[in-house]
Amino acid sequence: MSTSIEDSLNSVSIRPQKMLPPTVFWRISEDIPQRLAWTLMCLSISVPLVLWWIVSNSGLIPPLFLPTPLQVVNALQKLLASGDLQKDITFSLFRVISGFLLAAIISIPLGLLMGAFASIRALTEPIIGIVRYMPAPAFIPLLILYFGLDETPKILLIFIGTLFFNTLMVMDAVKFVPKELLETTYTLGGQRKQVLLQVIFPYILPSIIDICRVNMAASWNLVIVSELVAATEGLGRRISLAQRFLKTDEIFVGLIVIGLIGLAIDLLFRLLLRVTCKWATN
Amino acid sequence: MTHLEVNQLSKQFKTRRGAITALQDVNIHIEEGEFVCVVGASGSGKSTLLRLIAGLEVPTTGEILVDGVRVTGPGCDRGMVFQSYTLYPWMSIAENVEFGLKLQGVAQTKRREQAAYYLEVVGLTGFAKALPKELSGGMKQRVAIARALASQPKILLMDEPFGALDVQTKDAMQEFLLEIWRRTRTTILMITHDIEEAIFLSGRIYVLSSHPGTVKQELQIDLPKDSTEQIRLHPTFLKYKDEVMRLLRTPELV
Repeated sequence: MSTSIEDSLNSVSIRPQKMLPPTVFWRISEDIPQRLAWTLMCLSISVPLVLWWIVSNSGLIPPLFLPTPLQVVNALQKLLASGDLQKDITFSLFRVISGFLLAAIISIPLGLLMGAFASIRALTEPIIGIVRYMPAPAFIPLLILYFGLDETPKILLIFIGTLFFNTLMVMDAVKFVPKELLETTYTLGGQRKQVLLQVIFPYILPSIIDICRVNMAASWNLVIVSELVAATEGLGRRISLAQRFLKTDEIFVGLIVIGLIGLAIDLLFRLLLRVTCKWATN
Repeated sequence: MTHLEVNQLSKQFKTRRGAITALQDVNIHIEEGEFVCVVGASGSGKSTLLRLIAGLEVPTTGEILVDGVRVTGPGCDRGMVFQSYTLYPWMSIAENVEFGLKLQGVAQTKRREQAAYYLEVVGLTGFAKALPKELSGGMKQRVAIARALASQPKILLMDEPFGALDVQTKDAMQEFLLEIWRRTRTTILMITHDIEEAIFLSGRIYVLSSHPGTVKQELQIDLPKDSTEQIRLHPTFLKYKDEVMRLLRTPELV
């Protein structure tokens, strides 16, 4: 019995030493050198662009389906010159910002209350749990029925589509406030309202900004959906109009502009986080 | 009147497997200006005891009196220092220290003054504008102590405040705490599982037994309190240490 254990112990020492091979590219959860990072980021944009350029110029696909980059740039210039694109961007942005702000004004306090008080959570979570599974675009017929084809139904669609996710994500953020931080506040003489507004809220503010950043993407998707259905202007409207007249290059312009504006908004939120919550960033 | 009085205190927690008695018939009394330690093994409910006194938990039976007034919830008369560094990460060190006073509605100039005084007491004046994340563990705990003291509590409750620190920092913090206690004469009740720490710091020790937690022995410590590190090797010190260890070596486990 004892000899077999000794044998196995001996065999451990003769077992070849195996070590994790070194790598730069595949290190899990580690940074890569700055230069490599920039190179890869440039590739991420340039490779699809080059592929698009090659395929569209090869003549394999008719320009009706895939316009060349040059054709798209020309279409962009034409839309800019006529002022149509600026108008579309203004309308779409107005709708997104109104709908999103409205949703934020309600969802942040509501999420805070739901996260802090089990009573409020029990009161509101079941109904929100059901409603949030109803896809926001499914509300379009009702909204048009109630509010016509004005701005109201479009803004409300974005509001509905953002409200519930925003609320539930803010609620979850409250769970990560350390309990001892709240208890410390009580022993310093803090009242419940003070704990809510002066401890929980500042603690989750970085999370709130990040949550807004993520859900802004959803709002941006919804504005396009709402404009595809009923609108006289807007980027979504521009795309559906271009489709009707087979102007594929204008569809591409619309898509690229939507992507770029989305990216800009995303970067703005990141900047806001860095400026307002220095303590939470490295 | 006794400063802090714990009478026949019991606490039961309901779990899925039935009720667990964390504390049973605990009696403790502390006079004004005393430094008292409660030692006990894990499972002795010593943290629960402190949380009950702080008002963060409600006792099942029994009562807690501070200057004759029954404790029904947390308040700034019982300051608390936790083992984990519970600083507000978005506030500067000075803002952390004055936050209790701000919550209590003290005017800004007054609380600035007071915060500056306690920052000086804990030797962190130079870090007033720093953020908590820029401080080491020992420094963070000093800020937490300053913050609790700034509210001028009737009693300072400490839940293993130095448990997460390395040995050298811990020794330094113990001497530092003794000095603060001598300077401010704040009543201190500290929970620890470190026997040496308890003997070194306090004038009296309550030894808790486990499952359920109840006071096994009350021990008067008569050592010169202005002493240095050397006292830890003093025969009387070792005698106390041996006695507490013997009390903690519970027959229940054999």
